[in-house]
Amino acid sequence: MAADGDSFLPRIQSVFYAVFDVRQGPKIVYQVPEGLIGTANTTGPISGNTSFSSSPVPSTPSTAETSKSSSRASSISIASPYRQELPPKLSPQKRSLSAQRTLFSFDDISKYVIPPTSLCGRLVICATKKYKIIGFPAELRGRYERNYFRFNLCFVFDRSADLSCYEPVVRKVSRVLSSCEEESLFLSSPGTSPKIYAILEQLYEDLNSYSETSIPVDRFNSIELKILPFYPNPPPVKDWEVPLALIDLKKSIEPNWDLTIAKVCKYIDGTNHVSRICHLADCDIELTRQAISHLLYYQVIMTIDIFQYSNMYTLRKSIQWLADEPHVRDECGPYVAKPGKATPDWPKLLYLYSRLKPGKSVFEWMQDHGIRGLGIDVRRFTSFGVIKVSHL
Amino acid sequence: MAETLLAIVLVTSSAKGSSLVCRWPPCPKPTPRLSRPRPHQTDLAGQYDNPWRAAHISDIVQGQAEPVYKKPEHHDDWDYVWQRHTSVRDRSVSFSHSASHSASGRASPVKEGAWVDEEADDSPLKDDYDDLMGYSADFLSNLLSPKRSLCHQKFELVVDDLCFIGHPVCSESGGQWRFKPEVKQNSRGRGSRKRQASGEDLSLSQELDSSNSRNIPLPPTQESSWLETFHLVFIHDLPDTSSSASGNIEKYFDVIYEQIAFTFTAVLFQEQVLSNFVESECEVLGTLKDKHASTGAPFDEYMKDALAVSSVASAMKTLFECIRSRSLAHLTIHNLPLELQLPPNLDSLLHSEDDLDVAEPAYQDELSRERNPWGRELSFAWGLPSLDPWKSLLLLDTPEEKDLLDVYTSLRASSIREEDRLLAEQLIKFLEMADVTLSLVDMSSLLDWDLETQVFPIVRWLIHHRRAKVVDIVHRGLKTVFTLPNKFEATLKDLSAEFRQAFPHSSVPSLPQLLAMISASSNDHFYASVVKSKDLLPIYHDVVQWMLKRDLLVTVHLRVRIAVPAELKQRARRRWRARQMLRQREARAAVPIKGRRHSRGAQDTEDGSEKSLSMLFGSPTWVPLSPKTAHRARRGSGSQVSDLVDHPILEEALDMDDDNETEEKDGDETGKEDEEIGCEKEDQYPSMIDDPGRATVVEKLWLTEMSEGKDETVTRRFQQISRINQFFDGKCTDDEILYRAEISRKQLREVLHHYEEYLQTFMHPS
Repeated sequence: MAADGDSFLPRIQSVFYAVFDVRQGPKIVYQVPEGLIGTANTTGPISGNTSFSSSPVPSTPSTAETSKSSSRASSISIASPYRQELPPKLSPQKRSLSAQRTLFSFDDISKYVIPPTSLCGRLVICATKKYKIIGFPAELRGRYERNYFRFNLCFVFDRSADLSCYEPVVRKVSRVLSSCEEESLFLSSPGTSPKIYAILEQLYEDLNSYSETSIPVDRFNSIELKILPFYPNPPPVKDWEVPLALIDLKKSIEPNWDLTIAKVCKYIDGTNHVSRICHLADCDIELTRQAISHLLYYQVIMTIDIFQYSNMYTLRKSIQWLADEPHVRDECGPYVAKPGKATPDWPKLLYLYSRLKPGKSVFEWMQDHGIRGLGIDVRRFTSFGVIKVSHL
Repeated sequence: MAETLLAIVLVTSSAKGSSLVCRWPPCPKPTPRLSRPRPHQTDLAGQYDNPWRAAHISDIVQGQAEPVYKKPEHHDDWDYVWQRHTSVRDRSVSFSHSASHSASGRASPVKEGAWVDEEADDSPLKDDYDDLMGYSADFLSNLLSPKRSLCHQKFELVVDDLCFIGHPVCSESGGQWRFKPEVKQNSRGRGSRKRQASGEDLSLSQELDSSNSRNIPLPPTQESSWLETFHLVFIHDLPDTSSSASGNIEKYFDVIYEQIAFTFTAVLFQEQVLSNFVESECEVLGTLKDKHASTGAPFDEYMKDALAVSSVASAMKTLFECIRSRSLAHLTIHNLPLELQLPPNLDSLLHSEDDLDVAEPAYQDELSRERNPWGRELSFAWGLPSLDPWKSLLLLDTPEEKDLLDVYTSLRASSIREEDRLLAEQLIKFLEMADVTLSLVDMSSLLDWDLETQVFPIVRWLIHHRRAKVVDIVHRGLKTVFTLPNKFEATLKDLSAEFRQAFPHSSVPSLPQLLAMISASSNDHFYASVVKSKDLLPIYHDVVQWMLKRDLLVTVHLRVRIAVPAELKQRARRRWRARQMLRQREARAAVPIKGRRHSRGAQDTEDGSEKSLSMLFGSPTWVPLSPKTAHRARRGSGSQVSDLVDHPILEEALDMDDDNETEEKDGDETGKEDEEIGCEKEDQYPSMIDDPGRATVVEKLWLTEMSEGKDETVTRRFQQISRINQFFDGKCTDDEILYRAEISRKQLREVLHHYEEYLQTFMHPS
């Protein structure tokens, strides 16, 4: 389950910057790539009323609406003073049948992009049929014509995208731009505002290609972003849990690592439990827990129970397919054999696993099956089973 | 079910503006967030975005008493550090409310673009009538009335920690309400959704197709005087994204949308089209609200009256309460009965601790998605065991009479046709017969019903209405192996008390004792570990049912795998070689071909012949050839006659049709031993046969060798007649083997006993 979204960050379909225009209401000033979002509202002074009368059959409105606006979009893009005259790029997702060139019409979502005061300063995600728009509308008070200036820099994603990892990014971009505006009227002055287009371009290109970016905005401000993969929080760490490394931790320790983690890592061997590690590493117990929790978060360790001969183990449902997995078969023997002893064959090992039953302690199980003579490290035998069940 | 649900609101819009017509609960309270991002604080933490400042932050602090950076004047209402408005109760201004619906007029119509009335936003919230989650009702209703182009599709809006979900619908431009055939395709394949049993709630597609249930000519239209859109919105507290795996929250809201929001809206939409229902409801509610607001009556009073007069309002209340209490909601909207519910395990999507349990069935789902007998509705987050013929049905604790009565009334309500009554009688028979010791296939044969088309639909209906549970069949003598679940739904204390009340008899131990006995039983069956006396069987049958109903028992199943010892492999090879020699000698003597002794199922024949052919023509690892290629290969290799088929073992392996296959046999297979029956080195190690149903040539050789010297009837059962060895793949449960191989438990035991040395048994829950 962890593999679902980790390595796979959602792709930005479009980035746009919208402001509240004193005369026109909410309007998109720049968008990258160009022309993907239908901006029908530049034709009338106020967009609100136009769409109501013109909306065709409501069941399939988006197609009709957007195709209509797309035909206008081309002329608008030329009219816009700052726009570079690039041929409008086509969305890769566009439907081939209809002449739809836009993702959606800005008019539909304008009230969520440039909302009234009560939504400003909050993260707003709205959705059209196929896309999600995430933004952080901001309102700045000051000596503006209407005493306020509202803007929003929005990112457009597929509707199914998981935006958790973009939320901090959106907040930060809005924050930095707000600062710039407060300091130097970067957004509202006609001299500097065209620079936003370049910022959008870089956001779109860099975040999609490298998942990070560094954009100098002015002399003092810059936008530094990195999209980190999203992991769910690990469960709380208990002192009696035994951390078990899933990768070679010692190899990956770097000098700039957190000191506690570096110390703790040395004692993670699949037998020491958390409080014992804390003693061995001579660390504070709370810091040790945090360090373990941190490693758990990145899924480089897992926790198992303390091994005792009085433990009882039993089969889980997953044995059905685990027993067929070549990697389980091939790894099991070498992993569980004591050094210098012959590797037991898989049918034997599987048989021994199948004899682990509730109500029977490991000690009894060892007696019944003469484990001592087989050269099997019982602790490794059980932990192998536990690891494989948890990491399907 | 949906622990995140905060409120349900109904929003309407007309040409003159939008209004929040109805909501439940009256004063929803979002859960307070104890931690959330707050970048701009009064200290300089927010300045870390600025590298220069971050580097010189100490200078700034030391250098001047006041920070260089001046916050905007309106610092107090700085966007982010907002607080939920605590409503200032000001009864005196309450009469200045905008009217609840436009029929009563509005002083200054609000334009679509909300910026026109922005000043109003800043004014403090007046009272309960106007306050919802810290937003003004007007503002929210405007926010939740999307453009027409966003209507008739899923609506989703997230504002910080609130999530609004719904399915807004609108009239056509002329103010007419009518069904749209296109919606069927729009609604994401829901057109194919068919409810299985009668008397169930409606899905939009059905309504669209069949307003004929009410015998109204198509297409019905309804002229509304003001209603343009309405939107039933479900407001949720956005769950903590870091508490669950990526994408789960999305799935969670999808289910709520599909099962609740969409269906409820569909019914409202239908009623609006057929009888202008929503508009008249809104009129009633609006007038009532205005009346109460103008007299300064408290909001609660208005809600009380609203529930009395409006079926929508009361349905919203019932639905909300049922969703919060995880039960099935029985609603009545405009005299239409409607049942809504969410999958019982939906909330586990939000908590990552349960992931292990959730992930396991998910893995299986992928395998069996093709043929999921539960259907679309019951397949997600229901946590149901697979619906198989060898499973059994456990009726839940609705008093039986009432249950039967329910069936009667619900059938009678839909129609009183003769065949329905017949069906009802059969249904009652079915319910009376249902028992945990009887499998579904047994029931179908006893009732003479078809399993797929008659039994399964009823089972699905019962499960959907939470009147029954699918469980594993329980042995009549209670010789079923049980184990305990990981956790209990209720506390052991409560359960014990309940248990003692249900079974006061002294021969039954207390629940904790009983659980301990089961837990320590080391896979002994229930009779041996607990019951121990035949006299107690009836009472323990009740005990088992009681525990199964509360999920206190998990049935453990037997699975079997076949292991091949090294010694057997060597023996098989020796025997094979001996036969090869013999055959070569015979071939040289040109002994005429004998006919086959056995024939096998047609399905296996093709498979088998392909394998054997590839074997014969020396494909290094056998790859099934298409019939065409196989034919070509045969042609190419000459037509020297071989009597491979002469030997019972190879007969087993070859499975060819004598007439056309044997004449074209290639005889030079002797030098290809490795390719045919594997490398001799491999024989030193024991191995498992993963899938005996599709055994390779050499595996078949081993299987045959295992039967050497065994009792013939058992042997035949093992590998030929019932071919039960194909179920010894470690995946089929004992119940499934008995059902599929059509043998008795005793016969299975016999086989297990005779082949003990080669078989490994696994006991674990499904």
